[in-house]
Amino acid sequence: MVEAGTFHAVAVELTVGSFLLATTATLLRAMMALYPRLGDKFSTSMATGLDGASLCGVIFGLLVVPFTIITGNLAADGGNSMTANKILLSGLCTGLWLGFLHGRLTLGIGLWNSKKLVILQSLIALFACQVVLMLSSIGGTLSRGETLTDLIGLPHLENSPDVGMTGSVLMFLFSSIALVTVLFMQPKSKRIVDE
Amino acid sequence: MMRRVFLIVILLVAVLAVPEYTANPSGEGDGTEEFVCGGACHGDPGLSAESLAQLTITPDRSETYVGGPLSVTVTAQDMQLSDRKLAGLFLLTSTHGVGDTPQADGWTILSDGAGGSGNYVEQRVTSSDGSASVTWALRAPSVEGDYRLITAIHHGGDASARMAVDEVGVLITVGPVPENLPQISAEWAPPTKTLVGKEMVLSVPASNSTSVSLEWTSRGAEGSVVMTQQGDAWVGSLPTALSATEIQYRVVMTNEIFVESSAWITLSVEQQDILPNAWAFRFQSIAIMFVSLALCITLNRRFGRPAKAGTSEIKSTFNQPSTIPMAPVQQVVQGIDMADPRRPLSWSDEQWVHYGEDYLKGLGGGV
Repeated sequence: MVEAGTFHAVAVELTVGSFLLATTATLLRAMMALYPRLGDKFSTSMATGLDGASLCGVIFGLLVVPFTIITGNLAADGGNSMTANKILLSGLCTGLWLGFLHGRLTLGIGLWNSKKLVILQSLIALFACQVVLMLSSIGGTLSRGETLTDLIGLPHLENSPDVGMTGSVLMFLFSSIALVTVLFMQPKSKRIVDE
Repeated sequence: MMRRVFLIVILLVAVLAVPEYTANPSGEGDGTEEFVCGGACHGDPGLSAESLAQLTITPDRSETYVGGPLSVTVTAQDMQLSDRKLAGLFLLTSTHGVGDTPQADGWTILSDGAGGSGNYVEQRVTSSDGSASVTWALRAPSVEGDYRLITAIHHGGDASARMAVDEVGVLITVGPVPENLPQISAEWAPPTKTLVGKEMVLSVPASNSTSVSLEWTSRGAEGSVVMTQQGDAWVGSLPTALSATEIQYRVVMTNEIFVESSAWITLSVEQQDILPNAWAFRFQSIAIMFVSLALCITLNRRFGRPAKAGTSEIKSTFNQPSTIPMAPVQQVVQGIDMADPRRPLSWSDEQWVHYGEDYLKGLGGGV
């Protein structure tokens, strides 16, 4: 019988790999957009390819995330503060990558023509990737007692906030209201035409 | 030329930047490890710096018999530890590097004193005298002879991986089994780990025994439990621990001639990791996801808004009367006859201007 931990390892590799691919492609495409001289050296198909790679990476990563979370839950024997931090960071990671994807899909490929949007999407990707690495780092600490981030002295996140069930439900309600407001009441942006 | 020199310098710096010693600062974890530690802990032992550790190895007997019990206690002190204060103790048979574990010589490790059954145990040294101590419970090999058991330690300290070995160790003579000696089946694997609050029932397959009991000790307390025979096994329970602790126990078997006991085995009682309010954290996680998603969408919309739709543009447009667009009312008036006979009597001019066209289209006629 294959244990949930084995499936979790596979799911984690798929998730981390996809998101790293998305981040790398995004950053390269951003450099092409921000430095026209650099962009001129490469073909248009290269730019389109990088955009597609980032898009595919994010979509595939987001598809695998539920599988990763479920196998992680099944593999976790009980739980501790680091497991709690993994749960919290999983939410942040999913939210950031969903935001990245929403931006790319609603604004279209033309977003690479806007310097502000290029920087914003790159920052979102970078931050989300950092969250993914922190999640992996916690996983390494839980399973092997150490992580590569020990080399750069990152904290192990051994403590987690506990706001209780009431506080959590309130957070959930307020965040739901915030998201509904943004989605349905905020003026929507128009798709940017690629020039 | 300069590019090549630059490349060589970069490579040299990269090579020199590799630390002299590599190690797992958080340890390798308890288990069965050969002297070289599988090449994973401190690399080759030859690369390790010297440890000042004083190692002592103390068996509870110097002679045993085939399949018989043996307890070995290893103590290390005076080692120069790193901030993590982690030390790894080995029980070995030689320093060949391959096949030098007690198991390779035919010994069976019943308990490593830390809830496992390996020959390598890591300890965080917290005692005031800076010493580390591990007791292994072993079952003797199935072949008679003299067997040497040695010990080694490795740890970090003063920014180096350090190692010390006691190559003399102790010599244990394994003789023949005395006739009619009470014995535990070689197949029996004693439990070494349990959870707080869980009753630990032991079923010991002992032969040549007329009575069997369990002796236990934990934090100064001690006791004895009489086991009852059920089929081929003797069954009894250890006291249930209400907090994380360690219980040492051994099986004492008697018959008309002999009183024989197993080695002291350590049962590690651990607190079960339970995440309080797992659903609370799940709610928080979803909340964080919603907030981060909302933030990303808002930022994307704000930065993605065309400049002409900005507030300043609208203000400037309205400040110039000449640029005010024509009122749509004028255009509608141009296309509709105010005196059209089809106009309902009750409609005001304003209603007719706004809705007249639709009304006429609804009647099927033209404007």
